Amino acid sequence: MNHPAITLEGVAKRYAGGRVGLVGVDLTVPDGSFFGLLGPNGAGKTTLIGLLTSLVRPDAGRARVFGHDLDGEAVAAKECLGVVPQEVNFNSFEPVGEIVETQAAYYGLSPVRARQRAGEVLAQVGLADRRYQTAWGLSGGLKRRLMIARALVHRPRLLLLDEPTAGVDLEARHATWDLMRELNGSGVTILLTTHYLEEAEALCDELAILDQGQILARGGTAAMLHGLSHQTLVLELTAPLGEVPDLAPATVHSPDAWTLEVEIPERDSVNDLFARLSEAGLQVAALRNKQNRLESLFLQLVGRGGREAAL
Amino acid sequence: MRAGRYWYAYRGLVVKQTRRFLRAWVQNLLPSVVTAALFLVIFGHLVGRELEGMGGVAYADYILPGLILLAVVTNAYNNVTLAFYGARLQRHIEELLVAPVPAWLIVAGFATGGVVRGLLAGALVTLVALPFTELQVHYPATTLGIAVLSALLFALAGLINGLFARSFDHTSVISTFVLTPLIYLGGLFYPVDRLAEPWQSAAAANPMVYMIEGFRHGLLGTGGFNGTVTFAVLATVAIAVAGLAWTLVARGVRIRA
Repeated sequence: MNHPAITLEGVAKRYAGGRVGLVGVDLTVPDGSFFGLLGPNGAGKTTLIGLLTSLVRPDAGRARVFGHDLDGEAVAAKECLGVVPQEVNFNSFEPVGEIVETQAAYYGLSPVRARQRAGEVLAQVGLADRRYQTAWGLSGGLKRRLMIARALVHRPRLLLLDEPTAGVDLEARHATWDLMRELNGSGVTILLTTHYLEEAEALCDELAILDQGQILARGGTAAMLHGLSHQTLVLELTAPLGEVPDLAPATVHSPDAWTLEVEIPERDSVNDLFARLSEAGLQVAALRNKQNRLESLFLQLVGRGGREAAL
Repeated sequence: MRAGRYWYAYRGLVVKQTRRFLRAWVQNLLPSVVTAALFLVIFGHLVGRELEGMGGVAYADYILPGLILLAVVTNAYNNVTLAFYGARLQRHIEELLVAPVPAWLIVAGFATGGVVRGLLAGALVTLVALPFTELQVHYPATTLGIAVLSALLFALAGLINGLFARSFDHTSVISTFVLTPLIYLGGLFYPVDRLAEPWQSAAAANPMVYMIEGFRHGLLGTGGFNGTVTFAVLATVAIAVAGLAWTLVARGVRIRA
């Protein structure tokens, strides 16, 4: 029987002092999926990851990893997990290779196998030439790559990535994306939390939006984006505007004579919009979304009024 | 199968702990050696020449077992306290907590690291003492047994200190204000039976007295040592402290939210 990679049932956590971590969260992450967990700061994303890695003790509920209960079968569950935390959590005074080899040992790899795997994963993340260098000297981006290598050393079936590209330059971010896609393609289930919504939209096939310890929305990325109530397109015109056209049911705003911002409702299509633009005698030179579509959905759910509407 | 994996995890943890203190060996190992050498030169050699022998041996020989044991227990204690506190502070304790490593293995790995450093420091003090003393090990098994058990007991106690410490100050409080005075007042420099009452009775409540007497007996063959009781008490207390450390780590006290 194929178990889901993650099953959470009524998981709750409240920290000392009363701060809410999670409130009765139910969540299933299918085996093999690339699952994105989105939410504002303090939404409960890191708590959820901490709970799956046993760094956080739940007050209530059950959590299972590939069918292994984290309470009763913690060792079996942990064997399936690789974790890239949000903050650096290795001994910076140790050489890069030692950090990875020691982690391999914790997962029961022999010293020979640990050395071999450390070489492989360091090469995979582009740190092979830093193997004997102390981790202290690595840049922020390279430290993140080291944590990814460390998480991969025992070939986990489930990879938990807590904002793995935060503070990483664009080139390194895309390299990390490629690596994540490759891992997911090879069958590794990935749970990703990120603040970069374009990252989630580009990588994840399923999403959950978390806020104040509760899941506000969950589903396939495409299906969720399809449910956007509206989107705003920015149109660059080939000639300056005389007056702002009426493109109803879309609402139009013109920040300058060459640009139109058009908010189109869910029921309207871009084809219809272009037909109305042609009727108005307007030629469009370029088109882009004002906001990332996932960002629009995120703000719709988490932002003004959406929180109450979703509950 | 799982036993083999646990062995590699334990080995990895011990190697990490050993490398940690060897990386800064000047800071971690030399102070004990220098302190012991100064004691031996000043009290053993210069002042000791004016003193009568104690327990049938020269004064330098008499204080040596206490100096070795002082190095063993303080190094074992400090190593684990700082290693565990440092792991919490830098959060690399999480490397262990997310891995399939049971709590007893975490305790065993840290404690072994402390025992290794304690015994290494003791061995270095012994080497430095050779030119100043006429050392002959009378009962090697007793000597080694007490050294290992003492190192283990204090390494485990150090782990509990490291678990509860909230700052670097807290990592040295017990060592400075409890451990070292107990050793100095536990018969390192003098036989406690020469103390007047009530100090002699008070000394009887100091556990270091029995450890130092036992170690001295093993090294020098001096009398007044009940081996069975000393080993039994040391082993019992070590098991109790290990049980406490295991319970705290398993429950995630101060290491899990």
